[in-house]
Amino acid sequence: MQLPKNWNSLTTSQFIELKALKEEDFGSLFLYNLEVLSIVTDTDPEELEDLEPEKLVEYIYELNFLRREPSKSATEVINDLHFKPFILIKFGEFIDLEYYFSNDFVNNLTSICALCYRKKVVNEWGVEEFEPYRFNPSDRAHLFEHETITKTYGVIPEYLKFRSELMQSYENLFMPDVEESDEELDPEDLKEEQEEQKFKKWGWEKVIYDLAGEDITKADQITDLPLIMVLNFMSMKYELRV
Amino acid sequence: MVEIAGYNIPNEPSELTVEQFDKINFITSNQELDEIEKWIEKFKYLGVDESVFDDMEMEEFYQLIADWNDQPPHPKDKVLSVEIDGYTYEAKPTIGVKDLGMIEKVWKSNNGNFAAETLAIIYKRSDLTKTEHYAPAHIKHKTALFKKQPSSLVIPFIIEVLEKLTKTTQQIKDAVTEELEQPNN
Repeated sequence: MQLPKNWNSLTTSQFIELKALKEEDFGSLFLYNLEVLSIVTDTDPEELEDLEPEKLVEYIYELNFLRREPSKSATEVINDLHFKPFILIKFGEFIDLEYYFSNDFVNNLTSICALCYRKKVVNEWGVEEFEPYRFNPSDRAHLFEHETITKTYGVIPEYLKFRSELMQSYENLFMPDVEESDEELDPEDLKEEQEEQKFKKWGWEKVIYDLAGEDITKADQITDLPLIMVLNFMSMKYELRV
Repeated sequence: MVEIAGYNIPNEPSELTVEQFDKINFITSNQELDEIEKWIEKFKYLGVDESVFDDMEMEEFYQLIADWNDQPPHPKDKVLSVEIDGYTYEAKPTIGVKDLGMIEKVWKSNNGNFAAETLAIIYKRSDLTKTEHYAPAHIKHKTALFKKQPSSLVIPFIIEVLEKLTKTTQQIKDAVTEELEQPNN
């Protein structure tokens, strides 16, 4: 049996399949590892059922690289699409990335790549320009499924690093959740808490709505603004209470 | 057979059914009973009236246990083909990883049918497909059938299965927890 030797031999979709496996769902170490073997060798599980348990152990030792992370740096170009540095992303792109990252970023990896890797041109002034965000990332996700995971995975740690720095820089906007308390809240605090919950539910929509001057037809203009500009503006509003 | 106060109870693998074998092992593993209670439960299960033990001296009781345990050596050769209700059920000489995984699940569930379900997984009806072998309803049906078979059928398999489960589970855990420091691309 031809076993992969490292992450370079596995595709992004194989990686996503692997990460979706939960050992506890199998109720058996053998059945779980049988499924792992089936995914990484792209073999029908039925063909592996009669494998001797000792042989399975040998294979698991050979597949030890699976317990490490793939390469952590983002690849510059995939399929002629260029990595758009996070510092350049627009407010709308950031909101979508936040959505993908808060809803299982491994499972959303191909959509995340579709959002982060873009066509690029050099304009008449000799400046590089990324294509505008006028597409649904899930429509392009398939472009990344068969790429090796070492090419696509780096976008995850890169974004998490960027996000962490952003949270630090704009601490006033991204305040940590207040710890829940068992104490009974007085009516005023309760109202505040309810408002907070409502804001959490409608968080980014509320921000866009406010920044668009409560004119929903201007929402696209707001989401097309550079993220850093929006955050600076929000910080100013917060500081000056305007 | 062993005689206890006029009751003849089975003790040899060829006399005990798989169901009885499972029940006796289930009683043995019951942590809520002490050793004497376990043996009384086993003898009761095999047909001896509980009142027999009421006035029994401990020495006599220990002798009964020794008599019951006085069994011929356990069978080691696997029977690879059995016929039940007109159908042939076949087992492979070595156990594969899928079967061992399914048996591991039964072992963890500790449902009191370990031997019967192990046989139901290992023996496959020769006229059925792979998918049909593992269908839950079919496994349940085979478990009921194998409960009635002599326990001599299961003992050679159980010895191998428990050995492999213990050894290879530990090896897998060792492989998984092995500390690897260098990143790999």
